[in-house]
Amino acid sequence: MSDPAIALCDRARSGDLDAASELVSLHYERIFAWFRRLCGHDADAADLTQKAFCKAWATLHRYEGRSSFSTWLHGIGYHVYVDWLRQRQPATHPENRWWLNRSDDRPDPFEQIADKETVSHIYALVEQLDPDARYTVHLHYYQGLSIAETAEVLDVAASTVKYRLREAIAYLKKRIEARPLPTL
Amino acid sequence: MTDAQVETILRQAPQPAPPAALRQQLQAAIRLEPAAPRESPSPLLARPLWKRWVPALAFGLLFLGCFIVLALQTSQWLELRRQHDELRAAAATVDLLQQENDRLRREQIPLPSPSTARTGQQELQSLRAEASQLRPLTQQLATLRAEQQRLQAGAGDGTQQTVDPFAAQKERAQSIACINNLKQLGLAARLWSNDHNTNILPTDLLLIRQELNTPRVLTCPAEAGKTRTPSPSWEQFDPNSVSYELPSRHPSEFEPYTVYSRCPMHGHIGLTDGSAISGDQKPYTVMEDGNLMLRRRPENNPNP
Repeated sequence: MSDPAIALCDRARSGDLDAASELVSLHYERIFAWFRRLCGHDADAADLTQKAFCKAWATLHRYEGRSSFSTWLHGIGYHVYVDWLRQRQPATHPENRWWLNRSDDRPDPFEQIADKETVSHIYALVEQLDPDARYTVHLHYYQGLSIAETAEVLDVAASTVKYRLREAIAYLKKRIEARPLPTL
Repeated sequence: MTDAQVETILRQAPQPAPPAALRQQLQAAIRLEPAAPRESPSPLLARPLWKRWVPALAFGLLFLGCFIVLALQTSQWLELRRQHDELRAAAATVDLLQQENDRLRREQIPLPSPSTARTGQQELQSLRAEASQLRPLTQQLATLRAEQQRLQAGAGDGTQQTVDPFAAQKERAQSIACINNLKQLGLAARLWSNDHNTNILPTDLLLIRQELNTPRVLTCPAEAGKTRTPSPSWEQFDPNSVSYELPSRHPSEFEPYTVYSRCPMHGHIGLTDGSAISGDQKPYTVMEDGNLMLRRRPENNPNP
């Protein structure tokens, strides 16, 4: 666990607003991106992000430092998203092409590994996975959490996380290979 | 496409950009809870040790107190039960003791019933009256015998009288036998008084019939076969066969000089200590408080 996060948490528990603001600055983009990929709307994602942080401040005294602050925050966010999902009308999800909204400057995978359509197809296939596998892929690959951190957020065993990831990769490969070649 | 390539594509997924004002909104919405002092332990642990253990100790003390009370009551109950058993056993033996007591009472020498005592008293009174009547005759008889002996001793000429050469020895033997009778009478009376836990010797000769082997000892040998007939047995007892007097009203063992019995023929007396004094010694007796007492002869009265 990073030392600055522990110190910031302790200061925030003591009532230091600056420490809390610093924690927001460090983690709000990742949390928003996660919610944006899951729910498909900027407004819903912002609302969920705000709810997650509000809940984090309310339960900050329960944070004992056994896991990283990011993992703990993702755990809160997961439950906030699940509650939000239950309260929503069971309508079909609108098309969620979150991969088109990019903000980072990392190398374009489209350019390095595969063509743009294949990569887009992969991201679209991920959204078609069953919810458990989808959340696992989002947390592990998109959010960068480790197997153990992903298991802690989802409250499952690490072996379950590995199984889901393996099954998801296999599914993606299979669907990609079965995809007809684009016509020129 | 390999798994690694797929994973790489997934790991390099683009990150959606947050709205511009989201950060300010999140920072403005920060509501920190009042910090709970991490140094202080939980309210439960903050209490003193003895306060935390009071409920458990109270229950333990209550249980211990109940156990002690139960133990005391159990011991008292056991003690009462033991006493109850002992009393029951004692009560069971009471009946046996009562039966044994009744048996022993029946086996004792039956005292004369009041009616029998009344009859005996009447006979005694009649005997005393008769004895008082015969006493002067006895003295006359003794005088006549002395005269006869004198005459027999002086008559030597011409009169052919039958003289018993052994008369003196016979009289001597009878006198000794009479003294023996008085001794036996005294001893029998003392035996009776010891058996009855009293120092007063009986004045009713029928009471000492168990101590006397035969009623013949109540007849003076000098009168036996002449003026009185000795009773052969107690079943055939005749009050008229009694020669001896009981002059004292309350003869006591503690007064050894009390005359218990007296032979009107010889003058022999029997004392309450069981001894007997020959009448030849001319014992001096005086009546004191209803009892005939043996006393030293006063110097101014050398003669009886």
